[in-house]
Amino acid sequence: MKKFKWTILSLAVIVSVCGAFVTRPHFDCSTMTQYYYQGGVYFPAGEEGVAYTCTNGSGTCTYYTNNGINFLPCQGGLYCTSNCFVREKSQTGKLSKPATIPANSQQSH
Amino acid sequence: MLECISALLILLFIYASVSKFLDFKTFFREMNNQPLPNSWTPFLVWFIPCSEILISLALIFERTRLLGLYGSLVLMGLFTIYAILILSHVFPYVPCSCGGVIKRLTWKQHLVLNLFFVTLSIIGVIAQRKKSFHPIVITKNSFV
Repeated sequence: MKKFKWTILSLAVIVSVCGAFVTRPHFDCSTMTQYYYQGGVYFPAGEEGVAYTCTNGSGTCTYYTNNGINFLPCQGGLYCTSNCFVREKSQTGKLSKPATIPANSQQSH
Repeated sequence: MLECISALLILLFIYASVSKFLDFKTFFREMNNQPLPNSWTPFLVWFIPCSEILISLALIFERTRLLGLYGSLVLMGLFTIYAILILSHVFPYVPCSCGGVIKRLTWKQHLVLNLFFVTLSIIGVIAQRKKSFHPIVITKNSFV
């Protein structure tokens, strides 16, 4: 019985560590310079969590590039500077917060 | 049953903590992205995964299992409260639910997962307490 208990616990440890290694992202675009899109131009987004945040929502928050020409979507959500409030409808349909979206925040393209 | 509960909690905590350490830069960035003061980030990025590992270690050994279950209850309880606050729009914005396979969950799915593990921790605490504090029955034969 004791052997069985130890087998379960050891298995849990091994599976969790292996699982973490297996699901580790091989390429993380968010480690590259992030850009946001505005008016047909891509601008450097700055440091995430300091200069901007990606809030919950559909669309592309930031983009990255390998060559400075082609920009690929990286992070999902809505691009938003750190002091902005996002207009979000609760399930009851009421606005949860006043909407003061800054000029440089926008949805994906 | 207690071993199964402990195994499930260990699975969650070790997976979550190892994933964070393997991609520490991203975890740091995602913590900054949360609607919490950025000055908390250097503390939280170490506190969360380290407490997950300590709780897992406590859950492995019989002597410390109750402590581990209480720790798990507190940690999962805090995560659940945070998910409720996010979903209730208490914070100025709803951050991306980031962080492995778990990062693909929505906040509602996060809440359900957290509630499941909170329930599991409560069942574990009750079962472990019952197991630890069984009454001593003195019979006539005890003194023989």
